[in-house]
Amino acid sequence: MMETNNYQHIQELLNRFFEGETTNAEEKELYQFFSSSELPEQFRQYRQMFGFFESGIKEESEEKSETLTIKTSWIKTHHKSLIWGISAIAASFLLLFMIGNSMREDHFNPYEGSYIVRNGVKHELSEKEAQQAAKRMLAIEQQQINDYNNAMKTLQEHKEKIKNIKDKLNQINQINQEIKVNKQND
Amino acid sequence: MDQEQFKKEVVPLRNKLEIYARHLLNNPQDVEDVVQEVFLKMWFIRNQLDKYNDVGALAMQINKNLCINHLRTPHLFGDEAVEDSIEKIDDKEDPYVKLEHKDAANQVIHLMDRLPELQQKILKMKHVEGFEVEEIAELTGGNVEAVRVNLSRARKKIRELYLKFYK
Repeated sequence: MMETNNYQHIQELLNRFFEGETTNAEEKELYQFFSSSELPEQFRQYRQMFGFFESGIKEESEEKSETLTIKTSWIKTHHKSLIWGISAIAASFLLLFMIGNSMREDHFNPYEGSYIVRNGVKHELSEKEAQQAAKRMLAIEQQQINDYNNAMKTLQEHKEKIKNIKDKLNQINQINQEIKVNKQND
Repeated sequence: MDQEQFKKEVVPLRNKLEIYARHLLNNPQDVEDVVQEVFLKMWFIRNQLDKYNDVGALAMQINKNLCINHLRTPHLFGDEAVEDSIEKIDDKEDPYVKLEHKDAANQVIHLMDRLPELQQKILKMKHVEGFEVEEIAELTGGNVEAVRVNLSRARKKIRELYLKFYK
């Protein structure tokens, strides 16, 4: 008799629960009832559902907010390395660009199939000719460098000679002045 | 922003929000639902509200967006959404689908996603934050009955989903 009374009470609470009329305290009563091990047939189907109402919703929303915080914290922790990574990429591009530019200044570099236009006529080069041409170009460049060095050398020599002459002129001037002074003293 | 501040600064915006929503939505029940959802959304971000210069403008913006959502996809707010998803679950011919459903039933985790946003929020208020219906009504500036109706709908939908799953 006690039990059927209790079941009636639970059924009433259940109805009010689905109408949104129960208080938190009454809901606790329901959770407790539905988590007990021995449930009569008519209530058994609600056991898992009340588990959901009691803790499932909380777990689910916590799981959601956790994934959210993980997402934001990933960006936060990787913030610095992101900046470093981007600047590293930028720096390497700059380096490549500079190297590429300096390579482009690289001179005449004939290969098989290169050609020379001489007086409006196109001469293709065979591999041998290309090598010879490359050698010749190298020789010419070497010659130019030598010429330049020689020129610099003679220039240097001239400078030295001029300097010597200037020094000597200075000496003569000094001597002249000394003679003048001596004469005045006499 | 704490509860008292929320009641002082956010809840009084209700009148404005209602008037605006009434311009866009014909159904008074829809107006009530939208406004309730605005307040619940604001409540769940109450910690960040201090960062906004004008909380009223934020509320109006949320209100406007929700109204537009309502007009664009009314089915996402009513009862049809759940019925749709139940039908999809109920398709039991494919054994893989069946297995999937068993998994879904085991992981109750996606149940909440099957409810409209407003009902999710109300369930959270009641079952996670532990508010009584009267307190929720206070925070949304509405009457108890309006909150109770949505809570009832949410619970009935959960019941519906469970009975489908566990049969």
